[in-house]
Amino acid sequence: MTSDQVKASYRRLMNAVGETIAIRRYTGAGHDRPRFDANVMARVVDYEPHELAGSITQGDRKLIVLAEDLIEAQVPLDLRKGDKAVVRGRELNVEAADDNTRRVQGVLIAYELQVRG
Amino acid sequence: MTGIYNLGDAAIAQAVTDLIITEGVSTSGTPQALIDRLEGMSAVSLQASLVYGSGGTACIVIVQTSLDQGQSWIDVARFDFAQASAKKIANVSAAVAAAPMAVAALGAEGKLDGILGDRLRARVTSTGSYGGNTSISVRAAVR
Repeated sequence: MTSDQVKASYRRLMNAVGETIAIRRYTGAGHDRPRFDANVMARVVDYEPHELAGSITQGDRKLIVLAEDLIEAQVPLDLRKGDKAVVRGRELNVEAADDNTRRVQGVLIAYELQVRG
Repeated sequence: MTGIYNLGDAAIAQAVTDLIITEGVSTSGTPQALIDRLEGMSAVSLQASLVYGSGGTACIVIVQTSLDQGQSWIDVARFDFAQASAKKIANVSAAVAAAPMAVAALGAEGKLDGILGDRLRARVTSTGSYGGNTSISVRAAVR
């Protein structure tokens, strides 16, 4: 399968089972620091029991976010710990942003975000 | 193409000159200091917000567009801030005739109608050292 085919497959699945969330980034410090929300599609899932190891704790959730959606929203592909995800109105902290697992032939298909909150 | 775009957020501390604060991404995922893919943009509403902390003298935000794929940039709106929090807005439209003119820098709180290319970016120049979590943010509602 080529990366384009995988992207198309992810897009079909995301349209079928995904939901709209917001990726939120704050800049600077202080209570009135600026922020920007980018609405993207995501698949929100719990971790399987066997995945609860290392820094992943019970209650954490995994967000699968298509790279194409981030590019469309003009969000730089540098998601990192400390960014936020707003899921169903609740702001969650990004604990880790994995941009390796869902690569095909070097092409980033989707991020896996470990979120907490 | 229509929608709200982030033309940049930045904490302002030491004086900066012509600092590009826009962080976009190309279709291939490469970071770039501009927001592009805005072909057909007929108007853009802009908002620049300064959250003031302390110190500093002046902070100037200039929003620019380009008609030659980023080889040169044209000022379309300028927002001037000093030592107070403020939120300033402007609207720039491409749907008006613009007579031939030389490309020139905008004066304080100036704007240029009639010229919008396929990309935007924001540039910041500040004087004096700001402190206390001073930050600037610029948004664009593209239509």
